[in-house]
Amino acid sequence: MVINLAEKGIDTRKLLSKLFLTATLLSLIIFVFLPTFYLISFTFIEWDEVYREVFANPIIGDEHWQQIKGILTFSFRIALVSVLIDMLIGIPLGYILARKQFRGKGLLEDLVTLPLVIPTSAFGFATLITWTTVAGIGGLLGLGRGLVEQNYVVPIIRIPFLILIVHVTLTFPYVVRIFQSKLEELNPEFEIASRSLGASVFTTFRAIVFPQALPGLFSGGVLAFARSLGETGATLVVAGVSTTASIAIVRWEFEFKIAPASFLGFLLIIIATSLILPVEYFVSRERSGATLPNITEILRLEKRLLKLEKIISRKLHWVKEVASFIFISICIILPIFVVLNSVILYWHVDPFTGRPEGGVMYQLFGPPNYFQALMRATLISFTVATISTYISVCIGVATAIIIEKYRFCRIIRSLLKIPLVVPTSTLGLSMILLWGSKGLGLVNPGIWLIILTHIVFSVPVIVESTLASYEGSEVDVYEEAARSLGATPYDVAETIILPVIKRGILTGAILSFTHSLGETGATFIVMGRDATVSTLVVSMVEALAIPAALFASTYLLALSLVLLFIFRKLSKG
Amino acid sequence: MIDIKLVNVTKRFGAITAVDNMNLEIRRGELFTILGPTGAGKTTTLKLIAGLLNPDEGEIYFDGQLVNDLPPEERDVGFVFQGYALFPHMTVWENVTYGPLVRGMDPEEVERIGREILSKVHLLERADSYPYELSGGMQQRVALARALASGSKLLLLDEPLSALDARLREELRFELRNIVKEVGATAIQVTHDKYEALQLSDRIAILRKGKVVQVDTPINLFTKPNSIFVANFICDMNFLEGIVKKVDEDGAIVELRGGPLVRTLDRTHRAGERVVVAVRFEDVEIKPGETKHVYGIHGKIERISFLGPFIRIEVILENGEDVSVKLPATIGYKFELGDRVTIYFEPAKIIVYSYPREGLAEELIVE
Repeated sequence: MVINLAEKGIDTRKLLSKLFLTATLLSLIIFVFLPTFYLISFTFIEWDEVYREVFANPIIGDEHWQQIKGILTFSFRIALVSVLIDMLIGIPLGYILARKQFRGKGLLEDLVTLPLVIPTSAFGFATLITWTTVAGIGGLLGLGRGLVEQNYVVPIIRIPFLILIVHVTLTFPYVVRIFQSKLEELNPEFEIASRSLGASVFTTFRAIVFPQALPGLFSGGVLAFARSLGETGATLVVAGVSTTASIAIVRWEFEFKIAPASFLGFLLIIIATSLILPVEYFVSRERSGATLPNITEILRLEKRLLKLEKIISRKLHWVKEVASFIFISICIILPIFVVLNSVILYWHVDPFTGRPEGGVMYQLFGPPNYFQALMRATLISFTVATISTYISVCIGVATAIIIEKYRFCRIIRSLLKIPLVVPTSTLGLSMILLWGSKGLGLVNPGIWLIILTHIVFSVPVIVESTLASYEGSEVDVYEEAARSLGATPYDVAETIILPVIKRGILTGAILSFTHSLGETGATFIVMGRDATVSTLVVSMVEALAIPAALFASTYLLALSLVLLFIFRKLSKG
Repeated sequence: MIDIKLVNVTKRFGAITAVDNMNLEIRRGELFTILGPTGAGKTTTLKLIAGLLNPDEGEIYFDGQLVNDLPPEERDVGFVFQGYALFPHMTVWENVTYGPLVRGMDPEEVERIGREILSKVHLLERADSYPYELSGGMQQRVALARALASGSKLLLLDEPLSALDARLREELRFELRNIVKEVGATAIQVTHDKYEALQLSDRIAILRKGKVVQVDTPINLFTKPNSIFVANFICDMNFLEGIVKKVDEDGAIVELRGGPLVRTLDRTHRAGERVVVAVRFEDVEIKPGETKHVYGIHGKIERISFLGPFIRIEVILENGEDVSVKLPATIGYKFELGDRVTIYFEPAKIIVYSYPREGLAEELIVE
């Protein structure tokens, strides 16, 4: 049909391309931007109610506002400390991955990527039992109890230990990956030049590598910060008595305290957006590399620092390797093994009480009948992941094409960063308010609302990976060649553009499929009675059905590992 | 000023031997060039000297001191990179003073060195510019200044002029030599440009497949190339296969393929030996018409290329081989395509080599 219309002349062509542009923009607005920003307008529209509930409640006064302030500072403290630790781990790790060649480098890269695809609730649960039960580190050390209490708070920074662990583990890949790719862009000759001029390895890193890689570090840090602010799935599992901003939203939503929940969500969206846009601007400017005031020179420390760096370079260069290794082993590998091991231990009976009610088999197939729930959840998870990925690919590829074709669409690319950093529970709340009975009244909580929610964060992922492969290959040149050989724009799209960017689309699709399987925070709010596997893990933990949670976590981890494997096969090709 | 010695140095990358049992001696204050085709191991040699790579076997000495275990920052060498590798986030001044600073010199000393070196390369006014604001030639001079500023007495230059366009390159050759000689450093340069090497260097080492083929002054290399490879690489030469027919007190008579005879002064080869006769393009004599002469060879002009001051004439000999002749344009213009000519080789200008073991064609590969 397309061909026939095209043959009729140029006007139909123009009409079609206008139609394409309008349809793409419309679906972007309806499916992605409206849900993201609805909470903001909701807060303004319902300002009277929000004000009454949050600042001037007849009974509790501004109690909610006080709570929100407390929760926000708490969340900020967590995010800030997490990012600082991310940097400590991420800089050496990124450097190793970018500059060293060694056996098992691929494996290390996979392990670093794992937290990005791992279902957060399952991972949170794995961390929980690793640190607080005898099945984990405590047992390994022969303590007969867990190493730490669930609610143990790290002094000075006043952050619960487990929350800190999961936040660091789930956010450090952003720092490592972005820092690493920035380093890989950097010409290694700079480092050789610096060393031949008499600088030690460490001095070279401080004076040459670090300043040039700083923009990468910034954008990685901001993503990690935003991710920590919005982390819901794992935090729900390990939080215990503490409340972070995203958890508060979940709790208030379930208590029907919509006003304070939406106000908190509103604040989070504003904060995340105002963080990401300036950094995006700063990083995308032409001249990369930042000039910082040279503090060491001002303090006249330079000479002593140089000596220290020389000693570190010669004697202590192994520290970064060992530290990275220990961190990855304890925070990523160990929890996975502990979960696997526990499933085996708990298979028939609770190994400590000997009661069959505490065994995996009993909880799955006995009266609790979690197996049926798990099967239903699996079906829902896969349905959601498949449909939302499919719709997202359609919208995402079209969006990628209009971003490349129309100048004014370039801003979409920056705007699409926002859904990625909006806290997931906030997104869930926004979805319910927009589509649910309070808003348009079109979609009630349940599988369809989950699908709509997952589309919001899947589209940006697919657009980004499609654009990356579009820009990575010289599509423009091929396109011109094809046009000069007599192909119409439609022929070009079908025979040149799509095949070239196929791998990028596939990568994006798999990433968003995995993400959809593991998403917990937003799903928890919008699922109604249609629980997915990852939210089921949270429910199981809340119901103290530990063996069932163990099994479900293992199951989810296995699924995501398989997907990661497929992802690697495809991306390496 | 220091002298460098490489003794039996070998460097392998996996199955490839980049530097093969190399022995090299570089004298104090010399501008030494390592010349060779792509992949001959030139840059590897330079990096071994700088300490950016470690040899698998052999020793490297600076002033008689073994430096194998010294990391690059302690070898005190200035390295100038092909692409310059100027730090993009630093100004010219910061780039040039980086070396003195990280070596922990006093601020006043750093200031003094920076000024001295920058005025030497005429870039003091551009001290606050960033590298990307400078022209290619200026960037090249900053790179040189940076390498010199750390006070190193050994300068290593990796294709220092190759990133510049042809005209600028010729201008900068002399400037480079002047600056190096002025500061009195020993300098080792790597290049694949033979004209650059011949014009600039005190001595040249020719590398082939990780081995040193010949080390000599430019003029000796040009007049007495010790192998077919060097002759072909340095000079434009004709190479013709033949067999020594007779040796007498004047030299040898070589019979080329198909019968033509060539008189040479060479007495190192015995009768019956397989040899290669080499004659420079510019040393071939060419006469119009097919004249009778014992050592004249008849042929036909196959191609004429005009090279500005010179004309290159390619002749197909009656035995089927090609011979190129280079004539001043003022003489060569008389010849025309398809002309019958007679070629004559002056005995004193012929070099006779033994036939190479791997075949002539293999020996003539330069890439």
